[in-house]
Amino acid sequence: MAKIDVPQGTLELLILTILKREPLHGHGISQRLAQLTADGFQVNPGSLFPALYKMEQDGKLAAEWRASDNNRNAKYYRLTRTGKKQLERERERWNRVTMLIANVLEGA
Amino acid sequence: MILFHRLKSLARWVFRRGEVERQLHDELESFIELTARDKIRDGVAPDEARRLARLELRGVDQTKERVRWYRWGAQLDVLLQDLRYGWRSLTRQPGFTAIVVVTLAVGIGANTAVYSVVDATLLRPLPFREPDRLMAVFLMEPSNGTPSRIAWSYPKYETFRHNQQVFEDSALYRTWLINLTGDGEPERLQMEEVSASYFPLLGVEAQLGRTFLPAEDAIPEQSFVTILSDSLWRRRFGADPSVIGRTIDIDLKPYTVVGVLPAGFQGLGSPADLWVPVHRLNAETLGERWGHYWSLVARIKPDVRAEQAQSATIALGRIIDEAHPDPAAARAAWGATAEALEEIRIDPTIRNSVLVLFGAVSFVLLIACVNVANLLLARGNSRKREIAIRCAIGAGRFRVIRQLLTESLMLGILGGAASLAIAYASIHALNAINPFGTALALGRRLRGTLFTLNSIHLDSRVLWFTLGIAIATGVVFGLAPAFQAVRGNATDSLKRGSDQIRTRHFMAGKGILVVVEIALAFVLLAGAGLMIKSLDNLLSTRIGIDPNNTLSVKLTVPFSSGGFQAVAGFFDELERRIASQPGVISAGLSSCHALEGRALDGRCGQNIIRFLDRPKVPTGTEPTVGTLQVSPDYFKTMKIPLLRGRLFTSADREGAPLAVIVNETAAGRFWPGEDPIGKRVSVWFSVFTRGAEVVGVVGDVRYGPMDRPPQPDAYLPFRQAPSPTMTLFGRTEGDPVALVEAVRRHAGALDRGLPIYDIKTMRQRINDATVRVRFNVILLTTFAVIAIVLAVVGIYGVMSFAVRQRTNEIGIRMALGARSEDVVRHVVRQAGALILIGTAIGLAGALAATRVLSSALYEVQPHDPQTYVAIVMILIAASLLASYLPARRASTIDPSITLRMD
Repeated sequence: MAKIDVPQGTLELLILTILKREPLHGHGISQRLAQLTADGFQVNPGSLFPALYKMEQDGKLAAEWRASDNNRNAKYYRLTRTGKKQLERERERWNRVTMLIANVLEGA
Repeated sequence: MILFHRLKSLARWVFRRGEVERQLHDELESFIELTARDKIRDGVAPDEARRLARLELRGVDQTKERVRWYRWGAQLDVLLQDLRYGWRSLTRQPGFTAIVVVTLAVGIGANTAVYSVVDATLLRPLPFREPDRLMAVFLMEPSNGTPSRIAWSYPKYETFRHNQQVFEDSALYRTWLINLTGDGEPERLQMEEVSASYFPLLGVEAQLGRTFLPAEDAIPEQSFVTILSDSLWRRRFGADPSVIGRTIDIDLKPYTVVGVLPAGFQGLGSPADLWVPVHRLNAETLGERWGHYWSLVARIKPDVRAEQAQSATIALGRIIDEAHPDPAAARAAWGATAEALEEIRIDPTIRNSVLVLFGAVSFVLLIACVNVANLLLARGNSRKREIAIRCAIGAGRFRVIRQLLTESLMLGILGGAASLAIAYASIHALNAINPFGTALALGRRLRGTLFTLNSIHLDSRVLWFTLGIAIATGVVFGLAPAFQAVRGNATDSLKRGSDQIRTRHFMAGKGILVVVEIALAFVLLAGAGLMIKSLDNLLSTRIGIDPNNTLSVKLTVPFSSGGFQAVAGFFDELERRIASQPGVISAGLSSCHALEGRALDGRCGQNIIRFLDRPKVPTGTEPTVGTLQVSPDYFKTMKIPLLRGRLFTSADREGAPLAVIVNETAAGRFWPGEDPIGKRVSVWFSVFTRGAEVVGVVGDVRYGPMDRPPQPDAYLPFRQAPSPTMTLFGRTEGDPVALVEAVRRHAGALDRGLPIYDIKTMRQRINDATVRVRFNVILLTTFAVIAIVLAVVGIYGVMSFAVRQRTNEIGIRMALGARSEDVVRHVVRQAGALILIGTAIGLAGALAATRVLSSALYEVQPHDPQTYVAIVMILIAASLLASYLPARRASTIDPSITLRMD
């Protein structure tokens, strides 16, 4: 099956969800995403990094530099309190959206 | 909360930019490193893995740029960068920049100048308190089925005031000419008679003293108080504050000065210098039910809407009609109506001509924009490679467009700044022509119209407009070239010689620009051509007098100072004394001078004429004649030819048989095929109602506006029917203005304190009468000239560019044996097609657009074929010339050189 791009508007939700478990660097996030979707989703780094910067700028993520597993310095992102609240809200919304869309698809 | 984080990140970006950028770089590098490591683990060779990782990121710099894009405050940074870059590229080509800035300065400057006129006449709020709550209230008279607005009589106003419920207050006003005497030179001035409520209603307060008290405007002939304008106070009283309480003489009656108004306030009627309360008049005058001379202004109550006030006033019309029934009962009902003061501030024909000029000047700006777009397109082509390189090293398309737009905005703003000099000079020139001298005259003649209360000048409102159009132009002319620049793909542009591939497509775009330019220029030329023809017709109009070396001044002697015959005696003696002045050829008197008559009927005074040898015609269908009281030497002085019979002599005076001279039009209309001499007529004016004999026929004179053909006129000897106001004419050998002092001296000697006023040569009066047409002609012609110059430059630019682009092809053609004439013909033919299309579109546009001019034209149809043929020829000749020069250059191409070029 061909990889599909992350649907518009859901990248933030996916990043928040992934970072909820543990802090990760950019590469880690895209790997985790690939892993969780069995390579079904692909995220273009050209979209990932701007999104990370924007979320950091808005205070949803915090970042720190630390050594990665191969001793290379990498920037690790983690959720802030604002980010966690945001995640809850986004999840809630996403659940409603999928439920509503499912209703439409089945009812039609 | 989010804002706090954003500000923190902005601060980091501003103060520790190096660190922020380094971290971004490190982060992306580590991403590549980690991705590559994964690939190596999967068995890819290290170098290949690293290359693939980079590829996956789709360009480190592109990603950085996208990240930066999201950064808060980064926009500002990008803008500064764009500005810096833009400035560099503008200064790198100073010639190009100068041409663009000058073109825009002309376009924007002309627009600013005309906008200042629009603003002063149509847009700027009237300088009163809450001007939008003020309404002009009119009485409606049922004349000939179509009710027309007329002024109020005092008793009708009283009925209105007691019955209305929608206005919080109202005030009457009318203007009047008076003689001001005492303390220095006697003067003839405009005075406004107003209700005491007038000033509080408008929100005008005295700068010195006070305005009128209600008690001063309650009982007829009780209070003789007056208020001065600021300009009169400064001019005549040296801005002396002790003028309050002083007594001045108005028409020989003493009035006490109680206040001075702020500078700039001139009243709602004609510009006035003095104000007196309505109740200075006697009870009899105020009680005249059918004396309709009052204008009425009212302020709407705060909780009432303008439409409500209007419909309430219309409803009130019936009550007024019932209270004051028309004695001519056959007529339809009278009525009343109200309209916002803002709406009637300016004569509709002036509004129309101002809007026409505004439309025309916006065409000039459009042409300027098209030209600049042309230049930018041509330059954009030569910058293709530079832009391709920028794209290749990471600039997004949007970023490039933004950069180019920044540049064109900078050009727009530079042009706007430079335009201020042009606007300033133009406004100066516009004020010198002073079109509002006539606006004023019209305002006085057309009932219920205000003249403009604002002067034309550059102020912050106009400057905002300039800034606005400077930015708008920057966007308009920058957009197309910017999108054009990023179209196609980068690799194509990086290859040399690919320019020519797109030439065809590119030329189509430029061709449209040429067509647009020619079409716009056509419309402007048509407007200018028609106006020039109107002016020419107007100037060649025979007025019927010889205006050269003739002075004309007015004098008014109140009948109260000694009766009819004393007044006539005064004028007789004055004429005699002026005629005997050295350098004076002759002197004459008339109650009306050429071009003085009202716009409404083209006359100073008109009366019914009856023919005593014919049966009576029914009342209401009698013909009328313009009536003028003149001295015997009037005809000689104005060089009005005698066609039949005799002129008046000094024997045509009181006691002698009454005599009448008619003009040619009257003779032809009333006595077709007959000799009018010796016929007896009754002119319903003074003693002439009794009947008089026609003794002569003279040439026609245009007493009304210049564009109105002569009407039937009857001249009466002024000694048989004296007039308190006369114009004295002096025909001189030298400069007629030199005569003014003698007239002033003799008038003063004969009647102490009598002012002379409205002092002008007849030549000046003719100039005044054509000022509006000249104003239109000067502006439209200037616009048309700018337009055609810009269009020619534009066509030249496009064709030169086309020739340069096709140097190669032309070289090949010539190498294959084409002669230079063939090349010229080929290039010109290509331009010719564009020129013809542009001319055709322009013709259609002009035929549609010039209809708005029709009210300003004189004896020219908006579709005047002669004008159009001339314009087509001018345009085609100019544009062919503009394309011939580059074609000639093309024909001198040396094939051996061009073929080596690539």
